[in-house]
Amino acid sequence: MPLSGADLERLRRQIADHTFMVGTRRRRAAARELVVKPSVQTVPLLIRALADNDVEVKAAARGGLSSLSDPAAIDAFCAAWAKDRHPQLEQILRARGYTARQPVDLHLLCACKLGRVEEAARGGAEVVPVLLAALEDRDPQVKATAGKSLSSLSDPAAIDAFCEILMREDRAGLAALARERGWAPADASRRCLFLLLTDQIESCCQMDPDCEHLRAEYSQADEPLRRRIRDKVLACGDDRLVRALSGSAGLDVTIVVHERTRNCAALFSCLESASYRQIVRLLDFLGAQRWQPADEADRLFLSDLQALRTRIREFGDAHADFEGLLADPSLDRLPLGDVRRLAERSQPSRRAAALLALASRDGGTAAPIVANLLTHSTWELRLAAALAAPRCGSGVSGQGLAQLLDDRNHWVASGGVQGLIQGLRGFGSVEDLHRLEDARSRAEQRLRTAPGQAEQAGLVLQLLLTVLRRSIRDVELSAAGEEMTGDFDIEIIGEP
Amino acid sequence: MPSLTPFIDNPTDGYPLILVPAGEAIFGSREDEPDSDYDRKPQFRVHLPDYYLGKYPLRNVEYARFLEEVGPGQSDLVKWIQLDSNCQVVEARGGFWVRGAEGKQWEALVDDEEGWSNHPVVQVSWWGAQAYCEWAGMRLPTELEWEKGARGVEGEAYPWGNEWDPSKCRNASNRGSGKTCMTWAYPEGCSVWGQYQMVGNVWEWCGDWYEGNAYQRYAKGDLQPPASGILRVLRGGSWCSGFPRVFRCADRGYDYPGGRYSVVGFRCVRGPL
Repeated sequence: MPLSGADLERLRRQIADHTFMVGTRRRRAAARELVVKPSVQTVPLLIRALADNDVEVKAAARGGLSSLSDPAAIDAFCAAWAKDRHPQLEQILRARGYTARQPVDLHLLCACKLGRVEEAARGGAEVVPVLLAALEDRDPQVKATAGKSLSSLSDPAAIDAFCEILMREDRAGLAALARERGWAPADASRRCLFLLLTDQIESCCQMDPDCEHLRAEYSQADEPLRRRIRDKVLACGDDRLVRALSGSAGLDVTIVVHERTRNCAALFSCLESASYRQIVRLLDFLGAQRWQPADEADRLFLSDLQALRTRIREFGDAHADFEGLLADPSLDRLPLGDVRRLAERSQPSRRAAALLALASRDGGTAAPIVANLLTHSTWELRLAAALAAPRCGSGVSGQGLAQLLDDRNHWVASGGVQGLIQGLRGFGSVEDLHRLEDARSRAEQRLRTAPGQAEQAGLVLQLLLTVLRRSIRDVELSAAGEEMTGDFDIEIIGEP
Repeated sequence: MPSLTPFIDNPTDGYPLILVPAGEAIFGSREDEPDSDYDRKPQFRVHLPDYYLGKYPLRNVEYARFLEEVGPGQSDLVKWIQLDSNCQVVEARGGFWVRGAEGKQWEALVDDEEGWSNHPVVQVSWWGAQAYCEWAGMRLPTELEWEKGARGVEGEAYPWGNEWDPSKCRNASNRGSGKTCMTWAYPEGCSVWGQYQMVGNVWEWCGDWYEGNAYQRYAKGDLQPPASGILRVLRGGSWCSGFPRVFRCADRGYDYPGGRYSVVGFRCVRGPL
């Protein structure tokens, strides 16, 4: 018979009664009564009584908690232990071997605490994230059992889930475990990708000699996964994989391929479609090779660029930690919808962090928000938008970024330059040329308060203008007519 | 030399601070500037080293937590802060809380936009401000640090530029029936370094004694702050101020250090580095 509400309330009052002289007697009576029929309702009261100063109350509570048989009461007891990890509760949990039935994370936590490896490893895909989280538990016993349980996974769905997580996260120890056990996803295409991402390159190539699986996986992957694939392919240095991706992975991979084969003419032709960072890389490589184009005009073009390059320091690195300063890693664990809501409404620092998190996870969704925030009245949001813009692809215009170059806020102006430089992939028309010119003149205005920075911004923009002018020369310059052929030469601002 | 981190959180209390980079800046008022008393003249340039200046005026949640952790005796408490109906820090349930948020976790109040947690603490004396800074491992800004933080290096009249614009700070003309506002309100009025509400909302205590001819000495290169005095410097104007003059970054206010008012708060500084 469960206790009535009135009885429960009476016992709750009694167990907390510390009235002088009579309190102890009342608490002892309540504890004795609670012990008779321990249930889900009385577990919290017994736990409270366990902390009592009176030895008799304490002993009665310990007795009651040690004789739980109702599964719901055991669940409640385990939940209370998991919350505080109180040593007295832990003692009872271990002595009695209590394991919660649900939820799954609590069940596994108890199993891990009790060293029940097989029980913890028995589940399907749902146990994997819980066991991985338990690897970080502060209790060494929980940690150890979680590790052993992961090594003992046998359900194919669990192994698939384990592999999926490894594809998303760099966890060398767990990747070694997967290799040792020969685990890989059941699906052939995913298996191929898994082998690549866990450094089993040879097996990956054997399984996918034409790299068809890899190409398919790359084309379907989201941006963070693509980035991991690109990094892995570039790091492993296998030409076959690099070539396989060069068609779809963008210019970075193409550049690597041509650098390997020292195909300077091909690298030179990449200049016109390259971003600022890629242009710098190409110029450095071509300079080191002492390569010169055969055509006179091309030679002049390359020599102009190289002259500018020698005057540009690695720009924007002075405050490369802006993003780290604004970011909030705890947002990575929130659902995307919540992050988006925070990016749209919360206090400024929180909004800025949410905007960066959103752009990292889904540049497309972030793009319209970023575009709006580039002109927001709050400087932290303008700064976050500038840093997030490069991840939003063409969804954010260079014009918006260019405006930030003369932002009134000291830090936004610096961040704006970084964002502009990193996000200049979208420029490619006469209008863009004007935008760049506009941005350059804004950088000039910054000379007043940050001369070194403005000079460098000017040089970077001049370099990009030189490339851009050439890339649109044949296509649009004629259409633009005299407007473009007049005194468009731009003086480099400042002195080196 | 690696550049300094632009933004930091003070380790003791998590109070956010923004770097004011080392360099020369303009201080004081020109002879021909309007509403300019003798004590803020002449205009002069001084180089200050790097320092970190608080992003906001110190908030109720931060001061309540300080009192809760320090547990001051009655004599210190009365000297530091006047816990009356104008003050949103309250003593209740055997501890110190923000009014309306009694019993709530401090962490839950950081983003609170409805209550008083993120309004600047007021009714705090210079001694109370000083006690907080010492506890938190910070200090009150000198008035030169305060002024560079407010007007940047170019000596602009207001944090947002040279033109008076009442919509860019909390003042008597836009407060309605309210008094203080949240510390991240009026973002258009931020200084070039990013500090919110350098003017408006609350007057801010500075560490220096007030000396009428201090700026004349500074202009001649004698940068020693006054060694003694009876008044402490206040800067920035408040929600109650109506004259544009008091919101000028060069304007110098002052009061007795024991004064506790509903228009006065403070912000902290770390450095020089």
